[in-house]
Order: sequence, then structure tokens, then C-alpha cells
Amino acid sequence: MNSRVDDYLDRVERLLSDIDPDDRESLLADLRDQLDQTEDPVATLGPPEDFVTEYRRSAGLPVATAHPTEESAAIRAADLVSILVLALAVLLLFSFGGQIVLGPPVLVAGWFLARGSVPWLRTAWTIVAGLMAGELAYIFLSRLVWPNRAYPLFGILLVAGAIAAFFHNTTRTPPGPSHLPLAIMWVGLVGAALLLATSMGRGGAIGGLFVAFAALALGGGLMYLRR
Amino acid sequence: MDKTQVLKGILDTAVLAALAPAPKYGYDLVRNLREAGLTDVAEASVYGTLRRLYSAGLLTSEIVESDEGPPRKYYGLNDRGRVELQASAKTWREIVEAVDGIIRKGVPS
Repeated sequence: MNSRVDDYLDRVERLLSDIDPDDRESLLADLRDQLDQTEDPVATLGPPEDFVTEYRRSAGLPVATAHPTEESAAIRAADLVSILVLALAVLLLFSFGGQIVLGPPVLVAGWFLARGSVPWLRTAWTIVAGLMAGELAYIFLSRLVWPNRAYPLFGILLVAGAIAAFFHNTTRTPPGPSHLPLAIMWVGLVGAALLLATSMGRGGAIGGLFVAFAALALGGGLMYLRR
Repeated sequence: MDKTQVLKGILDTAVLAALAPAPKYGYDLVRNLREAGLTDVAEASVYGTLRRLYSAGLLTSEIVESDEGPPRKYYGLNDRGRVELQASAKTWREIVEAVDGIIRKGVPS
């Protein structure tokens, strides 16, 4: 096998660094077979970027992550702004006194700046969405709808549902979609956070809020990474 | 006619049908489809389709040691895959029959 083939396979491997290692290795083994007697892998399979893009499309994987190292300077600058806004949003959200008044508008601004940006930052965007959803849910539940004593029951139901669904999903044959256990874990985390927030009482409301947000953000980030 | 677009629509069925007689690894499947006449099918589409069908629970997979290189992952049909193949083959035949009827009227031989 010549060095051009090795380079080609290295490139494909890097571009698919986010997929299941077994799947990647079996694909590379197939490609090694196919390129064994080939002088010019690009003539056989096309440029590695195009190959990986088509592979991702056919496999139902996110296509945008196929070119993680080829962002333009303009996009990188936009990301820098987005990161700064996101950092500011988190600071404001969790700083005493500013969390309710300033948090949501800054988060919304961060969200709009962040949308459609480069792939490796999308987890951060998911975290922003999680934070927004968490804050809205928390405000809605705590101020408008339910009395505080309903929180433990709600939390227990969510956790119990999550555990039951998780075991149902992981023991059935064939297993369900890979994102489902994570989605279920997310629900469970929110339920656990609600329980914790309640147990901390009024004096620990900000801490409880933080835990609820962190659970949402963690769940959202995990779901994105496994999509 | 853009053959690539037609192939994309029918590739799932072709892959399931090609795996029905015996399990195959990826490159083996590509060769099989090519020899059957699907010369325009892109390798990346076949490998990606295999992964998607496996994720959808329609295929089995087994790692088999090879004398000629690294271990290979062989894919075969499971029961769900066979049911899916039957259904999609029926749909394909219905489409072929209908389009063929239309073409016969438009292009008399």
C-alpha cells in the first residue's frame, strides 16, 4: 500500500473521529481492501472530504462535522464573539441579583449569535438552549403553577419513569436508538435536580437552580454528542 | 436520467437483497453490487447505508478474522431485515410495473 493510500486513510480516520471506533475500524478495513492495488485513492473514491460527507449522509450521521478543521476566519471570529456572549450570559445568570432580570435576554442574544456556527461548538449551543429551557421551566413551575410541595412528587415520578424506561430500552432486543437512553437520563437528571432543589429549601434556591440548569445542560450536551 | 438519484432511492433494498443469500463485509458488498450492474453506486453510499441499516436493527454483524489483513465485519440479515426486504421488494415491483406501463404507452416499441 503506497503512502498516498495511507494519507487518504489517515484523513478519513480523522474526519470520522467522532463515530463509534468499531464502525470506523471496519470501514477503514474495507477501504484498505479496496485500495490495496490502487495508486491514486482520490481517483477511486474521490476526495476524502467528499467520501466522508457522502458516508455520513448515507449513514444518517450529522454531515456538518465532516470538515471540523476547515472553518473560515470569519466563522472563527463569529464563534469568538459567541463564546464571549455565552460566558457573559452564564456569569450574569448565576450572579446574585442578575439571574432573573438579565439572564434570559443575554442568553437569547447568545443563542441567536450561536446558531448555525461550527460543529465543535454546538454542544455549547445546546447548553444555552438547556439553560433557557431550565430557567423558563423553573420560573413557570415555581411562580405560576405548582406549589412547592408538588416538586418532590414531580421529581420522584420523573426519576422513576426514567429508570423504568432506561431498563426497558437497554434490555430489549434489538436495542433502541442510541440517543434514547441519554434522553431518558436527561429526564431523570432533571427530576433528581428538582428533588435536590426542593431539599435545599428557600435559602438554597440559587444553588438548586444551578443544579437544575447544570442537569439540563449536561443532558442536552450528551444528547448532542451522541446524535 | 440521473441514475445516481434513482440508485439512492433503491439502495436500501439492493443492499438488503444482496445480503440475503449470505453475510458479506463492506467491500465484498460493493463488489457484489457492481457485478450485478450497479456500476455507478458510490462506495461511500454503500458503507453508509450498511451502518444505517445496522443501526436500524435490520442487520446482524460478526467480526471474522481474515488471512489477508485485519479482521472484517460481516453483515447479514436478521428477521426484521428479511421482513423489511420483503416489503420493500413488493413496493419496488409495484413501482416498476406502474412506471413501465406508463412508459409503454408513451414510447411504443
